[in-house]
Amino acid sequence: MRQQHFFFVLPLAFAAAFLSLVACDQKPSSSEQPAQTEAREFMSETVSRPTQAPSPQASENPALLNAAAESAAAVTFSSRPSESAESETANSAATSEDAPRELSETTESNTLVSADDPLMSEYKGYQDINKILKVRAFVPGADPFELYRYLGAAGVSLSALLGQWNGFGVQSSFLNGKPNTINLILWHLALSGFAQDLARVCPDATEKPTFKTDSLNPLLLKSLQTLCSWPDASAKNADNLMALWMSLMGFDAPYEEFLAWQEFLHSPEMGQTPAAQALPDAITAIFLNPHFLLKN
Amino acid sequence: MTLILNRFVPSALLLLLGVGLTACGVKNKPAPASHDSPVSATGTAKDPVLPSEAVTSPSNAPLKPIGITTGAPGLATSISSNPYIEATLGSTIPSAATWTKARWIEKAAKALRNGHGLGQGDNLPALLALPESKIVEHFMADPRFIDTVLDFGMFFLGQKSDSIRDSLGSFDGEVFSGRAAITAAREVQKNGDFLKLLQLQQPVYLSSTSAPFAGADEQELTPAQLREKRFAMLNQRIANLRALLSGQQTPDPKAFCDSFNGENGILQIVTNMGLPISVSLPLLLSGDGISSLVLKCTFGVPIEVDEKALLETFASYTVSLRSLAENLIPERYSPKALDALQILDGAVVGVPTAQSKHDILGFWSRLTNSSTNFNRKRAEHMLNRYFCDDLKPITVLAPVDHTQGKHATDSGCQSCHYKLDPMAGFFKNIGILGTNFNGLSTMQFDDNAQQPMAEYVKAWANPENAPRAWNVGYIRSSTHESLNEYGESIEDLYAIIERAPEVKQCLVRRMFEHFISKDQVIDPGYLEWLANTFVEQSKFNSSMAFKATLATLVTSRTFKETNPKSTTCYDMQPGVDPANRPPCAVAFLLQKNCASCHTGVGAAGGLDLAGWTRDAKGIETFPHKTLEGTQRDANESFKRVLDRLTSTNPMLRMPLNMQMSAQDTAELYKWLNTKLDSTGAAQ
Repeated sequence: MRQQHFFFVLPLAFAAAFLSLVACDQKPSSSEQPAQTEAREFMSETVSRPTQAPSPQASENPALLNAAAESAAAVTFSSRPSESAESETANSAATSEDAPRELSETTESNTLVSADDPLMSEYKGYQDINKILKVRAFVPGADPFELYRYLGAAGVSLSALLGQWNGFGVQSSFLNGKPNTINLILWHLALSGFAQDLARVCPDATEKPTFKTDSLNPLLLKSLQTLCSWPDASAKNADNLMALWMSLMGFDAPYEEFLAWQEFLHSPEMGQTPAAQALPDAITAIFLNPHFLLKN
Repeated sequence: MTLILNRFVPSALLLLLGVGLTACGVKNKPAPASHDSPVSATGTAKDPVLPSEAVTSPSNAPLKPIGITTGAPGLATSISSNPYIEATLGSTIPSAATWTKARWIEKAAKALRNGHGLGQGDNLPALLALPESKIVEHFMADPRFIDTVLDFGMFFLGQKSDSIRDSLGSFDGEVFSGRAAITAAREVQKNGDFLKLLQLQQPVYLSSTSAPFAGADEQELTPAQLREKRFAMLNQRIANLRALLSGQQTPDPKAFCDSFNGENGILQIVTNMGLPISVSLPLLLSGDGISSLVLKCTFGVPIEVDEKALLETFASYTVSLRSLAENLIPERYSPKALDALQILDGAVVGVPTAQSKHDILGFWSRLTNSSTNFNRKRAEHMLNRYFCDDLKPITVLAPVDHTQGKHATDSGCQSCHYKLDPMAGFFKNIGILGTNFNGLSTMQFDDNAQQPMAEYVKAWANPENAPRAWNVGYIRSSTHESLNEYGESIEDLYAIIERAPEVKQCLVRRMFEHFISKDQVIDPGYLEWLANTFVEQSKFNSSMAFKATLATLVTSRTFKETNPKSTTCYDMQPGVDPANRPPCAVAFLLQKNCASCHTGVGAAGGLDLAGWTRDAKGIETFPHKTLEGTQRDANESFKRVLDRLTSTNPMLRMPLNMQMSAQDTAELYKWLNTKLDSTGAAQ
C-alpha cells in the first residue's frame, strides 16, 4: 500500500516540478505598457520618499524608473544565464551611468529562479505555511487546522522535516528549511492531501471532507463549488479562478504566476480531466508554487 | 582534577525536572499552535475601521487581460462584493501598481503581525488607499504586533521557537525562558525602554497554571482536591523531616535526600502541582545558582548542607506556595496577553525578584562550563548573539607579551582565543548549572569534574605587574588595550553590552535578518546608518526607535523585492553614489578602513580600494596598477589584499597602524575568499 502511494506521489512531484518550469518559461508581453506606466508612477512615489535611504535622486532618473516599472509590472520568469554575475556592485537605486546595468539586474532579480544566485531559498517552514492556510482557507475561530494530519500517523514528527525553529534554550536555528528530495515529497504529500480534502466539498465526491464545510472561507467554498462542474465552461470562469487563487495564494505571487496557472488550467489535458482530479491538481499547483512555499 | 560519577548532569537535572512539570510547558504541553493570535483567540479579530472614503484604488490601469470569457455574472458580482478582493477583482483587472502594493501589504502584515497575513477581517481596499507609513502604523497598532516584538526578542537572544503560543492561545512554555524578550515586548507595548532587552536582571514571569498531575488512583479528584492532597503530602514530608532531624545523631544522608527528591519527595510533589515552573524553581535554586541541596542529593557532590536550616526553608516555602496557589488557580490565571503576565514576587518564595536572564533550563544547562572548555561555550554565545561576532578565525597581531605558556596561545589559536578567553572570564566563577562558586575553594564543572578554585582561575590571571588583575573583557584589539573594555563579573559584561556600539549595530543587523533575510547581503554602510539612527532615536525613546527602524526595514527596497538576489544590496545609506564603487558588501568597509591611503590615482601600492574596474580577462576587480602602470589580474589583487589583511607582521598588516573591528575584518575576509573561490584561486 505504501509503495503504491509512493509511486503515485513521485509522478505528481515531477509534474509539479514540470509545472514550475512551464511557469518559468512565461515571457513578459509587450502589451504591458500601461501597467508599466502605473508601476513607474508608483515606484516614483515610493523611491522619492524621504525615509527611503537609497538614492533620493532616483525619482528623477527616467531610465531607473523605467527599470523599476519593468520590474514591478513585467515580471519575467526566464532563468537565463546572468550577464552580470560579477556585477554585484549594483544597486537598484543607481545613477544614470549605472542605469543599463541596473535594468539588467532588476530584471534578473525578478526571475523565478536565479541560476547564478549562490544561495537556495528555504521553505517558509511548517508553522508559517500552516498559519497562512489557516488564515486564508478558514473562517476565524474555526476548528484547529493542522496540515500534519495529511502526513499520516507520524505527521507531527514528519512536520519537523518541513522546516522548523529548534534548539531548546539558547541555540535556536531554522532546521530542515533547505529543499531536498525528502521534504519536497513530504510537502507534496501534505499539500496534495489537503487539496484532495478541499475537493471533497463537491457533491459528487465519494468521501466527506475532514473539516466542516461551513468552516471554510466563504469565498474559497464558493469557488470550489463552482469548480465542481469542471470541465464545463462555467467552472472556468475567470473571476472564479481568480477567487480560488486569491483565497489560497493571496498576493504572495506576482500576477503573472496567476496567468501561468490559469493557462495550465486551460490546457487541453486539463480540459479532459474530470473534476475529481482537476480540482486537487489545480489547488496543488497553487500550493507548490515557490512564491507560496519558499521564503524570499 | 577529580572526575566523579555522573557525566550527564544536565540530562539528569532535566529528567529530574521532568518528573511532573505538567504546568510549565516543558512536558505534556498543548500542541504548538500555528496561529498564535491573541486577537482571534479572544474573538476580536476585527481590525480598526479605516476611513470609508479611502476605499479607492490608487491606480486603475489594467494588467494583461486574462483572456478567458467571463462565466456566470452572478458569481462575479458576489466575489466582487467581498471586501478582501474587491479592489482587485470584478469587472476590471487589477492594475500593476495595485497588485504590487497589495503584495507588499500582504508581506508587511505577515512581518508586523507575527506571521498573520491578510485575512477576512482586513479591509484591503482601505489599506491600498493609505500611504505606506500609515499602513505600517496600522499594523503596528494591531495587538499581534507585540507578539512580533516578542518573537524578535527571542530570535535576538537565540531562543526563537516555532510558535510563541500554544493551541489555546497561551504563551508557550519556552517563552518564559526569554525573560528579557518578554520585558522588551512589554516595554514596546507602553512605549517604554525596549533596550531592557539587553539588561541582565529581569523579572520572573509566571506561566499559566494547569491542573495538578493526577495519578492513576486520583482520576476522580477535582483539581482543587488534588492540590489540597498535594499540600497535605507536602506537610507530611516536612513533618517527617522534622522528626528525622530532631534526633541526637546526624541523620542518614540518604533518608534526608529521599525526602527531598525521592519518590513522592518534596520536589516531586511541588512540580506535580501544576504551578508555573518559576514557582517550583526556587526549590532548585539558591540565589544565582543551583542549590547546594541539589548538588548533594541529585549529583552526589560531597558538599556540606545545613539540613535544619533547609527544613525551615521548606516549611516557609510551603506556606508561601499555598498562598501563591490560591491566587493562581487555573481558572484565574491563563494569560493570553503580555501585560497580563504576573511577575513572581521573589520575597514570597525566598529568591530575588529580579533574577539573571540566564536561566537554568536554557543558558546554564545548554552552555556548560566543562573542565576543558572553561566557559568558552558561553563566551562564544555572547560574542555571537550580542556582538554579531561569529569568531571567524582570522590571524591577529600577537601582543608583545602573549604566551605565558597558557593554553591556546599559539598564534593560530589566538585568531579566536584572543577575544574568546577574556569573554569567558566574565563567567569564571560560574560552575555547574549556573552555580556561583565565588569564594569557594573548589570549582565544580558541568562535566562533574572538580578543580581547586585557585588553580582554575589562573586561566584569566594577569602577571603581578599587569595593570589589572584579570585578563577578562571584551577585546577589540590584540595590540591596543585602550580600545578594549575590561571587567570581572557578569554584571560588568552586561554594563559593556549596554554601552557598546557593536551591540546596537548587532541588534539592528538581527532585525534585518529576522524581518528580511539572514542570507541577504546588507550594505555595511546602510547597516551603520540604520544603527546610528537607531542609537540617536533611542536617546529619546528606544521603543519608538525600534518601531522606526522596523518601519524603515519594512518599507525598504530589499523587503519589497519580489525575488531578491542574495548578493545584491537594494538599499544604501543616503547620499552614496554607487557608480564605479566596489561591491556593496564591502564598499563601505573599504571606504572606512582603507580609503584614506588607497584612493584614486596616487593610491598606495597602486591599489585603489575605492574604485572598481575590470582586468584584462574582463573580471571585475579593484583598480590595481603595476609599477609599469598595467592593471593587475583580479586574482592577484584579491590575494594580495587578503594576505595583507591577515598578516601577522605588523609592518605588513593592513590597515597599517589602524584598528579595524573584528566584524569588519571578518566581513572583508569572507568576501575576499568568496572572490578567490569564484575564480578558482582559493587558498
